Amino acid sequence: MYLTPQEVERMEYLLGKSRLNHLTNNEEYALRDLIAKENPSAKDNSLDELIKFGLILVGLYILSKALSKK
Amino acid sequence: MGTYTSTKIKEYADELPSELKRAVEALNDDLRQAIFFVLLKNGELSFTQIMTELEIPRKDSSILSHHLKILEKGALIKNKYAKKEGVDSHSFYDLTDFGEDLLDGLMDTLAIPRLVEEPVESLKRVALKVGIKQSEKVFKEATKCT
Repeated sequence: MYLTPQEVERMEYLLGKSRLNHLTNNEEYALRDLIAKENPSAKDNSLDELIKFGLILVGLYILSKALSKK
Repeated sequence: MGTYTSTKIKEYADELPSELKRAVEALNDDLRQAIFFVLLKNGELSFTQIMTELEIPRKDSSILSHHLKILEKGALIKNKYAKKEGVDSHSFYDLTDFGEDLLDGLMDTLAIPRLVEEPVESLKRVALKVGIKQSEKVFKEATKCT
């Protein structure tokens, strides 16, 4: 993963907010930037696709951390 | 086929906790299964949004109400108040943690054959679920602190 742990945490917060609340424009830009840092081709996707992609990234990150502990 | 009733049958049937009995009964219907998966896929939705998504005509709204109540009784879904931009309704339905856990448990019993058939799609689905749980948890914890 290219994101730092702080950036991952920020991305998790923004993704959680997008599901339980609403993102402001600035938060949406920040989320796009974070996801684009991980995968530049995702930048032009719709917000819904971007969120889904971000959630999968977070899930993979958590799963890989869990697997590396075993 | 007749239905048998006896003390022994009741004794064994009662081994299943009543919460699970209610939940299993709640899922024993096509429309209720559809409602459950609509909420799983889309997150919280208003009554009207569920009707639209499932293409239920307005005249049958009482049928939807009836089935939503059964799912609520089974503790699989919850009804909550929220204000959302662009949505007139303030009443939304969503899966409960119990509903999600029950589904996870049921799906886990199929997980190995699914992974063998379509490894990438299955992994994506699992990752998406984990991502949703983690992100919502992080957001909830952060908003609790502020």
